[in-house]
Amino acid sequence: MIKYRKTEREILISAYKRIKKRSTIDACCDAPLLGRCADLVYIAKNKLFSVEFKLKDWKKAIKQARDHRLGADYAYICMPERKVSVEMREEIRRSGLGLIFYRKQGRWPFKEIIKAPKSIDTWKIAYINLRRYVLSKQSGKRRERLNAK
Amino acid sequence: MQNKTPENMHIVRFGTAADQKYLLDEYLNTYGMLIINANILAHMPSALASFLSVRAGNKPYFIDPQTHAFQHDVAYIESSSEKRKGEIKTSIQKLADAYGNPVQLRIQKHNSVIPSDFKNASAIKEFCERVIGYQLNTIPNEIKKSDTEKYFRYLKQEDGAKLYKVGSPHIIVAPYFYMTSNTIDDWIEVNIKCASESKNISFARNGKVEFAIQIVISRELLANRDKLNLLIDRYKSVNPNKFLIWIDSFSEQEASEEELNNYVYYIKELGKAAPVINLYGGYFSVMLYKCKALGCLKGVSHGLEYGESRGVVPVGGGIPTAKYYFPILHTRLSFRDALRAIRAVGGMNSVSEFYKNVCDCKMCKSIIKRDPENDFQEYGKSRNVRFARKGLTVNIDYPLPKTKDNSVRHYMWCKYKEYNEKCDLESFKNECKSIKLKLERAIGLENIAHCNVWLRVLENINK
Repeated sequence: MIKYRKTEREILISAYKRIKKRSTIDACCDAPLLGRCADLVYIAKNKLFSVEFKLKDWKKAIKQARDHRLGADYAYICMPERKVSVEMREEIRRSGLGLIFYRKQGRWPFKEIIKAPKSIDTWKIAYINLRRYVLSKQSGKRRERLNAK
Repeated sequence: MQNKTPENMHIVRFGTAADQKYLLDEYLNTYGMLIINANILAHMPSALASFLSVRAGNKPYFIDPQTHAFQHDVAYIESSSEKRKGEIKTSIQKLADAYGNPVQLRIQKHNSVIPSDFKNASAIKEFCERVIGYQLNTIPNEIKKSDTEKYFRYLKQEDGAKLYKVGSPHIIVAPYFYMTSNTIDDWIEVNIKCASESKNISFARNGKVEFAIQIVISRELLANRDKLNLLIDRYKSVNPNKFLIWIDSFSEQEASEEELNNYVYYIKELGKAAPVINLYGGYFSVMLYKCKALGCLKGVSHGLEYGESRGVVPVGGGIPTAKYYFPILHTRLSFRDALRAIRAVGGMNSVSEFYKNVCDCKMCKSIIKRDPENDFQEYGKSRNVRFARKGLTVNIDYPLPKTKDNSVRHYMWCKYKEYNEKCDLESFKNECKSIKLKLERAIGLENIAHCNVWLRVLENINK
């Protein structure tokens, strides 16, 4: 198991910075979502993804990320590379979430371990608000491009 | 002849000035009695006098003297505003001035009162006299001082408007102090002395008003059967007209089966001496009354939305959040969970299914009109607020004033229904079965478990 000295926040910021370099992806941190705060939200190929970062407590991550399914198309939890127990895998699947590992290097900061299913819980109003929030955090040109979409 | 408290067991606490609009007009007849916090009375006596005499149509009331406010760390009663930081809150200072020593002296020195401050028998008597006098006289004196009475006499002459004459409170409450397992040995003597003195004073002064003892204890004292029995025996010996009970931060939804059994035992035992009113209770207490499981439980009080349980500190205040009271579960759910729960019971399918399976209260009928999935957002609208937490900037959705307003109005109608609808153990049992089937998966066991715990406790009482 790889030992990470970075804090949860540092991992989030590092991932965010790398995602931001992609011109086709719009992302923001700390997006408000129905009383919760989604660590990272990004729009890729016109789909809305949310990511909840946790270093260790996967049960807590699942609890928080479950709520993200009300606003996003796909909800993931992100952890440093670790062993995935059968219980953890089952719980993530049962909760309708995906699991990604944080990658220290590379252009894309995540390695997909469990693919998230498309959320069937999405509440259109939360979805619209979340999308709008991500949009509002982009620079002028990006915003225009997204508006055109 | 004593002025008996009303039969309506539904009692509401007037917590803040903003609560007024949920207690008047269409809500006025939804509850039977009001509890007014003494610190609010100290803060706005004339407004409260006008509220009770004119707008609340002479609703029966009593005052919680909140004497426990002076026993905690003074930081709890200090102002948090920039200008007055470190000073005692104005309303608490006014209360201390009205109650006099020993609290006034201690507050002046920014100290809390301790049991040894009540050693002197005559000092206790005088303190009790002032606390009772404050409850008996503040509202009537304010009315006499103001022009309210004159104005209404004029109106009555002009067009026959009804003149309400507000008298004394319906119940007088003895000064009281909070007790835990560790502090009961120190405070019980003071509390019993205050109760006995107050009883003598209230009977001598105004025999028309019922006399009550308020007992405020911690959750762990409730679980300590030996100490609880000692407490019950001591209080029973005073023989008041009523017991008012408050268990610190005792949420019926979060309480374990053992805690609820202890709670039932506590009420049952006290009830052998006098009827009991629970000052912070939810649907479990209402069920205890309605299933006739505990004949001695004569009233259950709640605050507006956030007040079915309350911590002893801080004194007053609290931030109400906009949660949706889910009638089937008899509990408040976060907007997210409410959304899932409504979907799970089919309430989002159509307006009629929402009314049938979720709620058909006046507020819901005015909000859910076309498309429940869309209309329901009125209970969850919020604005984005950024603030710093642990050195980081955090974004959070904060409910809009209108959202809170909708939630409180819905809550008040739900409570009205709960206190007034017919119910029995059998129907509650069926309700619990259906809840488990429909909601366990959708919102998790932790949000529904209380129903089954309540059911088991209620069934045990009737065995």
